[in-house]
Amino acid sequence: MATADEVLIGGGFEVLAQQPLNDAGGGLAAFAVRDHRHGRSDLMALQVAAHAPPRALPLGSLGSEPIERLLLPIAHGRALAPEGREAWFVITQAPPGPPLLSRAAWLSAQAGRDGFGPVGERTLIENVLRPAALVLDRLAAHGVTHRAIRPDNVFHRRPGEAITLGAAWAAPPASLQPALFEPPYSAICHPSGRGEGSIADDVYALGVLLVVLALGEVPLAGLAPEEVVLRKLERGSYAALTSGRRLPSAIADIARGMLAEDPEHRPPPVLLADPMAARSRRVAARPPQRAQYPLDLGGIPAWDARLLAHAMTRAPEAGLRLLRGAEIDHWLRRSLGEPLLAARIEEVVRNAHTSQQSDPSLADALLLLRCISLLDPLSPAVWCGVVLFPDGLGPLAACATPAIAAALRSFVLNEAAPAWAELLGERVDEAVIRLEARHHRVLLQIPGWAGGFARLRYGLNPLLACDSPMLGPECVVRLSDLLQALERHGARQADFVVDEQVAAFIAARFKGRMDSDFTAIAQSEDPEIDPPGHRGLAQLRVLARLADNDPSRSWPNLAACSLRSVQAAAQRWRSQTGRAQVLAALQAASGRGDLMAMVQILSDTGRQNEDAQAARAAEAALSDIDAMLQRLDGSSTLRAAQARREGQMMATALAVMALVGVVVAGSAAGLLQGGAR
Amino acid sequence: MSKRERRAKPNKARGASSLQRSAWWLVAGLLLAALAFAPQVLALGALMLPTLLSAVFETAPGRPATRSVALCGLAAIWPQLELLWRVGPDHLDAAAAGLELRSLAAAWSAQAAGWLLAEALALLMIRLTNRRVAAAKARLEDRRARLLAEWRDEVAS
Repeated sequence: MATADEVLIGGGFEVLAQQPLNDAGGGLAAFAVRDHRHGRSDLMALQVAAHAPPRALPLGSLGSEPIERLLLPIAHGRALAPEGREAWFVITQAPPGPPLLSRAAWLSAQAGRDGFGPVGERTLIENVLRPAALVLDRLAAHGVTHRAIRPDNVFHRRPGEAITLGAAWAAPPASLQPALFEPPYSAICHPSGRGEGSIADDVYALGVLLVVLALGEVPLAGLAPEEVVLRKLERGSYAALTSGRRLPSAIADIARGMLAEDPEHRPPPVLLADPMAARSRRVAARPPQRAQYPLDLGGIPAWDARLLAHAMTRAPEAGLRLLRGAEIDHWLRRSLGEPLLAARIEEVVRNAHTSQQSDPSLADALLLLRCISLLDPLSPAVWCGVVLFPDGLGPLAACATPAIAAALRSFVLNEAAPAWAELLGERVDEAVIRLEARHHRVLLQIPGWAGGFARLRYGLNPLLACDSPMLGPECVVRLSDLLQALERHGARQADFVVDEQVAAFIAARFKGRMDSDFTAIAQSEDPEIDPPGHRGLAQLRVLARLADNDPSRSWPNLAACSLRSVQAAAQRWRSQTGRAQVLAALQAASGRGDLMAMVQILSDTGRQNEDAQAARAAEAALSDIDAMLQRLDGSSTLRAAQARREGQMMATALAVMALVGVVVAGSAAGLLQGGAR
Repeated sequence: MSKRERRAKPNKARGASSLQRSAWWLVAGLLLAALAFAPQVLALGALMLPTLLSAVFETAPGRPATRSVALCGLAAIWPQLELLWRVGPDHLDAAAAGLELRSLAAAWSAQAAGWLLAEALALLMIRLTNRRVAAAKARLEDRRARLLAEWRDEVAS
């Protein structure tokens, strides 16, 4: 677990996990916070749910400047959660009072069991619309959306006072929004795939809040989200929500504009801050063309193009059948009176027939995506049963089930996002989406553990916690926390602590490339190709590069597990003495917990070259010795003959000396005798 | 066949036949000398009989043992040779000097010693050479073992 200093978020905020704050988190668990620096008591901590990362953009761009009547993020970090595991927390201002509707009351009202009494027009305008519009205007100036305006996340000090918008930073944008508070094109998306959206979507949610408070009950209560969306599409959002009931006239005028189907037709927040101006604003929106007779698709009677697009989203098989059978073409031309749209649809279907797409299911997915986008330019991307906006790819990937992950992989690999964007004209920046789609595809196609879906997941979610079991109960979001968690848990479990999740996490967060090392770790070692200790050394290099960011620390457990995994690498030294020296040096470095020193020992090419040269010299010496031994063994007869000859020559020499001695002695004796005579 | 070759062949044949003739003259001369000095030759032959036998029986090229035997024999009979030289043509004295038992024993013993010396020194040299080679082999084996201990199966032996 993290140390006492690490438990303090932002160096000063302690999460009091034993003091939960009911109804303060707008659907997320909220806890009291103790501020060790300034002693502030108006703070709370929101617990980030697993696989639902907080929003990096608002956490990075908000907080520097106060925005009144908004619970701003102050810091974020990890702390111990009540369940005994670590979790990520976002520290925000605490709400000034209770929410407009407590969680229990909200759920009860949503189910249609309870109402809560209508709120007056003046109160709605002065205490709800105007303060919320000012907040949204400030958020728009920061380029941030709220996407969490709903009764349980809007607070007031006491009834009759201006509201404060709750925190919307600790979960993916709009992921906790009920379908009622989202425009149909957003509500049909997977909750995590709704994307950042636009400030117009916040205006829509605020409009729904006004209607709900004005009615004193939750409209469309008890209906499933799909039914809510269908009602809104059939009747229009305002008509579906009010169901013919009368609202105060000012609220009705303003809410009608705020609930416009097209976000471009909704009033901007700055206009809503002046309710009179907002009320007088009229947008000449063309009502949707209604067909003479409906086209039944998957049980949904489609009266217009948007409904048809929605029906095709919900029943793709039936939609494809009708597309290929040209029923949709006929319906568009004859019943709806949209020959231009029909011609574009026909062209897309014809192109799909002639396309070279090898996989028919992909061709179908692409055809459906394009046709739905043509029929409803507001619609999100629909791909293999998953509905999302491309900027919601990251949060959706974070919580993806295997089926959704497969669909998202296909979405990225086939660059479906640009195909979706190219039909939407100026509503989206096609060039940016194309560029991002290419980048995502590259990430997905990187071989080994440095790429793939896991890499994409961490790359798109900078605040997503690493999912590896090697981290124990610790919540690791920042790269700087990873080694400590591995040191405390992973290194005690296994020799190889870098698994697929850890590798993808590092690859996404580390500023530098270690792709080849991750590929080496991912593959099983082939003794025919790979040098000994290949995997272990690759892992050691990765850990050492991470440890290099904090050279003052030592990592004894990681060094010990690395030592076990790299011992085979010592066999790269061919000399027994060299191996023993390397192993001794490794053990010494491991004892100090110095990972970089271990890498340097094993990567010392100078010593390895010397060892290789010595091995070659030893080979040559052995070869010479063997040749000499063979020569000695094979030449014994010749050698004996030679020795014999030498011995006999010595005997001859001795005999000559004897002869000379005798001759000389004889001559000397003769001379002596002659002299004597 | 060219003129020169035709001319050369009779020359070559002529050279060989003249050499043969010279050898015959030499043998004839030696025989005559031996007949003239028959007692001396007989005495010398008796004294150097082991050398003659060794020359007959030794097959090694250059007859190295026979050389030692002959030289030792010459060293032993040197006084008799001087005597034979001095007595000159007195054949009987020469024969008596050559066949004297003591001289004969001394000459034969010396020649036997010469043969023993040649064989003993040959055996000694063989033994010394073998010892030197065994020492060299031991040194090489030792170095080989040390190399294998250091490099094991990392180097191809």
